[in-house]
Amino acid sequence: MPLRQAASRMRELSLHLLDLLENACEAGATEIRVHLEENTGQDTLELVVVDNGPGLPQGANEQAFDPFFTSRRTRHVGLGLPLVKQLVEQVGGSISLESEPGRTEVRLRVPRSHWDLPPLGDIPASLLAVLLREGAPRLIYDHVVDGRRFHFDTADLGAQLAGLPPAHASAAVRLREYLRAGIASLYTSRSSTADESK
Amino acid sequence: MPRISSVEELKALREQARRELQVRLGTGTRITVGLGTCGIAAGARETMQAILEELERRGIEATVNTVGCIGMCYNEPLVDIEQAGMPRITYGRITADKVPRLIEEHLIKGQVVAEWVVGRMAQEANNGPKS
Repeated sequence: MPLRQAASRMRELSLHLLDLLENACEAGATEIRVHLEENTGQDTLELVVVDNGPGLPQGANEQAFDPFFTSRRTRHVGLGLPLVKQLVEQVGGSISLESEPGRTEVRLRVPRSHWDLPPLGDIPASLLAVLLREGAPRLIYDHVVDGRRFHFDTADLGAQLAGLPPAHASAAVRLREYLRAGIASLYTSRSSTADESK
Repeated sequence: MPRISSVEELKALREQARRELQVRLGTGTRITVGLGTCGIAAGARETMQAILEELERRGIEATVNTVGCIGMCYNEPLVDIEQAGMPRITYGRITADKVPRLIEEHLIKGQVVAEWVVGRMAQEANNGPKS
């Protein structure tokens, strides 16, 4: 699929997030942390994805944004970074990549209400897609909206799934609904955060 | 199709069909969705969601997995269905709107949807490494 066509179909930020998460999984990460913070007052949206995969080869950070570059021998980098960089630049935001063995961090910051910024979209579906991988990594997700926080960690999954593995279809649907409710609570009420105490 | 000549034969046929359906819908079913960049851009995440919803709606017990790029980007979204005793079938261009028919025909009726098939692997080869 041509790059331009792929870019035009990534109509949600959550699809870009999924692509970054998939890249981390393909790289062999066993733990991924996602921090998504929205500040309506400052009109900012910041997304940070950190994984514990092997990292990019030394000096390859800049090349990672080139759609024709890959370092598949050590780390699979798909089109995720070039596409998200294109989006960030389009809305006047910033993006950075820091990588070393055992830690790779992608950080982007964009104006939240920019006309050309796609909507966040279905974040629960993107998180679920990663959790349905065989040998899925530990996923720690923090979403903050104006100080209200939703925290999710796959290490705490047992209670939500009643003992079923996430890949089991009915368990997956239950998990998705749990994530949806938790994230939706960030936008509806100051007092109903799913896990405000953490 | 054999001619049914009595109510007993009809009942026996129905019971046989029910047993076969149970076997097909047992937990031996695994559905895999490709979610590389190509798959994501082609709508594979929505396909995954549609599969989960259809399985839930019909009460079908199955395992749903995601994987990275499978390698046939032009045929994304790609969906693999594996069932005990049957060849592994890879379907191509399975957008979310095609999922109800796929589940109905492949999982409920046990019939491969030939026009959507892009790959087929014999049962004995299923245990080997994925290509």
